[in-house]
Amino acid sequence: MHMADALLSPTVAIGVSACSMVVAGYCLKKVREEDDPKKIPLMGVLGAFVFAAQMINFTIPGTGSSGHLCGGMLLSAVLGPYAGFLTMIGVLLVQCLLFADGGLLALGANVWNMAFYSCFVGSLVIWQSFVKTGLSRGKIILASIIGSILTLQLGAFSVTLETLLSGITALPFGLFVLTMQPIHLAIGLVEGLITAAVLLYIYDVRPSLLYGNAKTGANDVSISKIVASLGIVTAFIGGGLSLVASELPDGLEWSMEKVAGTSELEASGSMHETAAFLQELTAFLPDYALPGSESVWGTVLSGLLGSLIVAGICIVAANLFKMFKSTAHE
Amino acid sequence: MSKIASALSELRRMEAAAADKTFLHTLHPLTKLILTVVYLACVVSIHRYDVKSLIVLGLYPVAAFALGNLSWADAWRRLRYILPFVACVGILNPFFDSQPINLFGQLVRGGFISLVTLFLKGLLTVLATYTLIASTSIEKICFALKVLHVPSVIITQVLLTYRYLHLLLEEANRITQAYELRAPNASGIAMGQWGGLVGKFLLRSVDRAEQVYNSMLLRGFAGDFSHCGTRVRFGKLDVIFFASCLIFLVGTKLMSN
Repeated sequence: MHMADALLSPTVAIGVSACSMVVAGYCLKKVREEDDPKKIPLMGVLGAFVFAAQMINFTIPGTGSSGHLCGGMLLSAVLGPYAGFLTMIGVLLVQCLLFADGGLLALGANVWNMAFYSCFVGSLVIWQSFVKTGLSRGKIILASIIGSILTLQLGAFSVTLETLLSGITALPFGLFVLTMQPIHLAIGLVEGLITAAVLLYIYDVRPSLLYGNAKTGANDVSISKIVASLGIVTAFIGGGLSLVASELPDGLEWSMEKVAGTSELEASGSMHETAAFLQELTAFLPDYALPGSESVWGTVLSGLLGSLIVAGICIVAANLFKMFKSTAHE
Repeated sequence: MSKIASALSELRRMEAAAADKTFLHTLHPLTKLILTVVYLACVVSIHRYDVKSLIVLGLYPVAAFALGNLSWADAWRRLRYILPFVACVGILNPFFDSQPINLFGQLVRGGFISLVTLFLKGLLTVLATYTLIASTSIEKICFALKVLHVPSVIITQVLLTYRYLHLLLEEANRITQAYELRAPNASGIAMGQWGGLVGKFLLRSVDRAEQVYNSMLLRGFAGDFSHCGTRVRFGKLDVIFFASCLIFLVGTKLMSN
């Protein structure tokens, strides 16, 4: 996800670099306040560790391919978000200068896309909220996966925005987003799994190393926290990303258009008519929009309501299953 | 060659290149750093249909390569990271931008020209950054950053990261080689080993950081490497080189407008 210099205009590069510099200034202040002289060499050595660990390939089960670690969240889980952010700046600078991975002018953008989201969203928001009441294996897995996915999604979205604002590509916004986000969803999941595996090992062997881990008791994961986290991700995808969903036909519609010349086949017969009548009665948001309106809010509402209804059905089904199970035991 | 082994050899090549004693190498690191940033800004600010200005700007890396006796082969190798991503972003430009543009007397689709300029920008920016790092060691670049008042925490951290890069890359190489010898047909580390393998590597790195800290204290470390291990004087040649390059870059940019 490293941005090259060629993909940014000077205006966008300066704008994002200014944002990164403000965050770096804040992190410097925080690190100085912590006043831990041991942290500086630790940051340097762990920066080199992340660099080396990024080169190790990890087999992704069932795919025949391999992935690698990005390391921002792992670094923050050990160093904390502020020192982690400064360390990532060093890693990105060395990568850019020595290996041409990301540009010098684009350094500010790369710091924002990779270091800011992993250290502030992934670590400060997600990781810290899980650590606050003590760690457990379940919390580490959840925090790593949710944090990594969110971090990669936001980073990929920023890359899209920065490239488009720079006027580099003629790709439409929706198409560009749809190219970037799904692939980074998979990358985020792999990153989350690797991060979780490493942090679980650290938790078992040397839990005091994990930043902010005051308690080492094995508290269970709070169900409400899981539900809230999944709810936020669902609302983001259903209500936000649905706006950039492709208007092109899906695979089935595309095949039907090629075979039959139309994506909607006509059907006749009383059974079909009854089914169509029932569908018209129940479909209060036809074609994912408000009836008679093409407003984007219809799409947002459809995404959110659809997610809520599916969640509701799942909860009711789970409760019924539980009731059935307890009755069977009696 | 594995990815880690290739990174290690790249690192050694860069160090060997930066240790040369040509005219470009003897220039003040601040001169080269500022010129590189100005050059990058000039290149990326060129209009997407302006191929001519980019060709003219190509003279800077060509001259720098001659003055610094730099290797074109090493520079080309670095392009493998950049060009695929640049290609992904610009490959559809010819389909979406059909505006006819005059290029050397021929009408060409605007999208095609913007794809060419994107490639040229990618090429020139990588060459310019290579020129900087192949003629200036990391220590000297950190010295230039120090002159620019970049906070010492960041400079110290960059120097330490670079210092331990060799060591930890070699360690990662040993780990993966040992794993590959035990699992010769595997394409990477199996899922069951992810945590233990990288976790142990992380713990060893943390312990090493503790030893580094103790050694630094014994050598009188007081918070930062204030001298960055190098001092270079700003001479007449720096002024002449800086001024002539700046006139060339600003002139090309003004003419492109």
